[in-house]
Parts: sequence; C-alpha cells; structure tokens
Amino acid sequence: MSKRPMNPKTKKKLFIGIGAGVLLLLLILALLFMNFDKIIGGTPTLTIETPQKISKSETEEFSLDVTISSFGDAIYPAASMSISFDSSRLEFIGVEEGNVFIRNDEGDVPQKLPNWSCNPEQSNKSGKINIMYLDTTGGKNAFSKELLAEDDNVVLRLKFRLRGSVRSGDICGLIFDDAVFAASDETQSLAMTTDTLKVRDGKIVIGE
Amino acid sequence: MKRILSLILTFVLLLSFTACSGNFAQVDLKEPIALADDGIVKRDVFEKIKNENAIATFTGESGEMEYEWTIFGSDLKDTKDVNLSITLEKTEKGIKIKFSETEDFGFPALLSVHLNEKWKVDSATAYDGKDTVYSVSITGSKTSILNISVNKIVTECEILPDNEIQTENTPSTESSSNDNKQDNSETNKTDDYLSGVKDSDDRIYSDGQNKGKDKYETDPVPEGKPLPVEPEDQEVDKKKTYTCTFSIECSTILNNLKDLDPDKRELVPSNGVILAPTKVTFYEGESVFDVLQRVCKEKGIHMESSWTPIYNSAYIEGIHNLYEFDCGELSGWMYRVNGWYPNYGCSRYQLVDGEKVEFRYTCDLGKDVGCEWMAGS
Repeated sequence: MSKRPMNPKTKKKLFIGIGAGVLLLLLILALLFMNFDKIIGGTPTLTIETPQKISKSETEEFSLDVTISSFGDAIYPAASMSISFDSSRLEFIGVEEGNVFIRNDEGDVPQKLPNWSCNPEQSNKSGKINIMYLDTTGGKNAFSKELLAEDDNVVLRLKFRLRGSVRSGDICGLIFDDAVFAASDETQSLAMTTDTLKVRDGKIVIGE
Repeated sequence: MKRILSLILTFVLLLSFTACSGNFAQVDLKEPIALADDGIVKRDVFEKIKNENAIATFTGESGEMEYEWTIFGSDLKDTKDVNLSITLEKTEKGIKIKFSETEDFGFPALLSVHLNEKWKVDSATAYDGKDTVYSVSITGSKTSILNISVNKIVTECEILPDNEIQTENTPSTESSSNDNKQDNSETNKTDDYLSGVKDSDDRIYSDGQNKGKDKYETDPVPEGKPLPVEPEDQEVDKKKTYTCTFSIECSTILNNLKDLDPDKRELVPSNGVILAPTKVTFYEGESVFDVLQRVCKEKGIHMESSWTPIYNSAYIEGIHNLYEFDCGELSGWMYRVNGWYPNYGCSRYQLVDGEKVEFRYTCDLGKDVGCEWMAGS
C-alpha cells in the first residue's frame, strides 16, 4: 500500500506548529527552573532580617525579625539558636514572639505561640545570644509546616537597644553560630551543622 | 493562518529570550542575588531596589572567599549599571581587595567579606597605599566577617589590622586638641584645676600644666589622664549604656599570709580572685564607685564604704569582708583603670566605654600592686 504524499502547505503548518510547541515547552521549563526552589520548597533557611539603617541617636528599643522559609515534613519539638553580636555596641534586651505557631494538640485552640528562653544578662556579657524552645509534652506543642504561612514566617524577634558607643557608619553583624530545629527522629532534624538548615546572618547599620 | 502562527512564534521566542536572560523583573529582592560572571548589576535592578525601598543583597565569590554587598534602597538616587565584582587576595598581614568597577557607585554600599577562618584582630583599616580609605569592623566568633562601608571606589586597597599600623599611621590630633583647648576655656575660668583637653569621649584630660593640689587635696593629675569630676555635678543618662570590664582580686595577701588577721584567712580565695574580669554595663555619667556598688550587689559580694568629705569621694573600707589593715598596717583596697592608679577617689572617676577597672588589695601601700606614686608618697 503506497502512502499519499503530504500537501506542502500542511507540512509547513505542521513544522511551524511543532516549532512553536517546542519553544513553548522550553519557555515553561525555563520559568520552572527559575522558580525551582520556590516550587519544591528548597532547604529551609533561617534568616536574621537586616533592618533599615538605625540612627546613632536612637534611644528606643528596636526589633529584628528572625524568619524561616519552610520546614520539612517532620514535627520539631525543640529548637535552639546561638547568635553572636557586638555587645559593646548593642544591648540585647530579649526575645519577642513572632508569628510562627506551634501545635496545641491538647488545648482549646489548635495552635499557640512558643515560649522562647534566653538570658539577656548573660548574653550581654558573652556577646552571644542563646535561645531555646523545648516542648516538654512529647510533641503536642511542636513546630510543623502546616502552621506556616506562605511567606513572612517570623519565628521570633530579637530586641536590642543601641549603646552610647555607636558611631555613624558602624556595622554590627549578627552571626548565627548554630541553629537547630530538632525532630523526634534525629535524621529529620534541621541543623546548620548538617546543612539541612541554611542560615543567613543579619547586620545593623548605624546611620546619622 | 500563516500570519497568526508567525505572530505566536515571535511572541514565544521573545518570552523565551527574556525569561532565559534573567531580566524578567524576576529579581526577588528578599533573597540574596548571585552576581553574574561579569559582576554587572543593571540599572533597572537598582531602580527596583530604590522604588521598593528594599534592602538587597548581592553575593559573589573570589577564590576561597565569599563576599556580599548590601544595598539600601533609601541610599539610591541616580542609578546606573554597576560592576559589583571584586577580587580578594590574602596577603602577609591582611586582605587585598581589587574592585572591578572603576567609577564611584554613586551610592554607599556595604561590603561583607567572609573569611573562612578566624582572624584574631579587634579592628582593621583599609589602606590605599598610605591613605585610609575605609574603616573595617570585624564580626563572627568562629570565622571572621569583615564589614566595610564603601562610599568611594579605589582601584585596590589592603585591609590591615589596626595594631600593626598604628605607629605609622596614627592621624595627627594637634589641630583638634587646639580646638578643644579653646572650647574648654570657660571651664578653665571656673576652676583652674580643671586645666585639660577634651577628648572625643567628652571627658576632660589633664594637660599636665597644674602644679598644685585641688580643693579636695588631689595632687596634679599626670598629663593625658582623665581629670576628676565631682559626683554631685554628674547626671546619669540611663538611655545611654556602655560596657567596661570589672575585676576584684586580693592575690597579694597570698604572699603575706603571716600578716593576715587569722579570722580572715578562710575568706581569701585560693587564687586570690574575688571577681574574675567581667564585662558589665553602665550608664553615661556613672563613676567607678557607682559601678562597683552595683556589681557587688548583683554578684552578692560584700562591700563597705564610707563617704570622705575632704576627698569628696567614697572610700572603700572592705570588699568580700577583707578590710583595710587586715593584712598589715599598709594594707587596703586600691583601684586601677586601664593600668593607671588614679590619684583621686573612685567616686570622682567618670567611666567611659570599654575601660578596664581593677580593684586590688595591697599589703604594702601600693608597692606590691605596681602603684608607684602611692609607694613614693
């Protein structure tokens, strides 16, 4: 049985169609690639948000957000972070609540805010802020990804005041020395040391 | 039909090109932006930062080191394409930076250089040949991060630790000292004893010109040392806090146990240290005595003092239940600030940021703790 030759016009249309299809596919792939991290979630990242410049004459307390981009699939009943700062220029006042909830499995409401522990007096002596949360109920008050919003997940806020020694142009770094969101199954924990938790340091820039 | 297909094709091609080139206004300013190979950041990106009043971060690598630019939208006025790429090189004493951009950015930018090791240096300065170009702050406890506020661009500069270069590059203070002398002329009129120069910390320092005693029986203060203040004139500003290092020790007693009151023997710590060097916070205007009182209260250390009108200062009688004359007739408490024993009471010594205060027990009128003037008198 012999094949009937294709009409040259139809053939041309077919080629143009296939070409357009391939290019469209390439475009979709390029866009997907550019937003890959957002689509699949990426490695959770803990960030100290750098604030706008702070005037050297600022005498009021101010806060810096510590945000998390995402969590893994586990629940995290404990979390801790260690942040070094320049205690000769900054006075650490304490920690304020963020907007990331923990589960409240036995409570009247399904979620609540965690109680973070820290010791500002010791932090100001050592220049290191150690912050900790521990769920003593065995997971009923744990962090989990279901309680995260799409963005701007503030785990906690660091409250500081400038010391009189700051000068315009000073840069005060806030550096993560360690950070962990511990899961019951240790292999699922998010930790800076194992690269399962990325960190992004912050800085306070002093202006006029 | 053919025309429609060509239009679709052109549109798709255009979209593909824009998406792949990375300039699809897709720049997420909340995330760090990796610099392209050529290091050039386009003007429209700076416009976006400016319009959104955002704080953008651009990251790059040079050899084993990483660097990061932080740019504040509030600092941007006229924008242009800028090459943010730099080359970092370790030198014998510091770090050399070579900028790819040859013109000033037109806005200040913050450069953070991440060293992959700890640089045991308190502060550093960037030099372009002989001139200082940037001051550098150093942060990080495990590895060091050098933060530099870049206001102007030089071809290259070298960051050197301050303690290595102070002797050659300490700026002259002659003119500012003269200005300050004029500023203090009014002070001099009110009390000749307060003849001195004002430093950047607003404290008045002795110029060494006075020969006689002041009204509180204080001998002339050596040149360059802070002059005493009167406690009743000082205002404490609790909105301004600073830190200093405080320590209390009585190790001299360990060498003079035979002279120690036997009832006090068990009070003396085995190493003589009552309070190891501790960083403490104080408020602007506070004296050494103010801080000593607070530290002892907070640490639960006994301290007893009495007001001595003739010296217009508190006199420290005892700390940790160790009193004057407990270890011989030449024994008692002395204080030293930054290695100098002030020749006036601790209520009259106004602290400034970063000072090191030591309370030390002497068994020999200061000789055994290195106080020459006391020993001489």
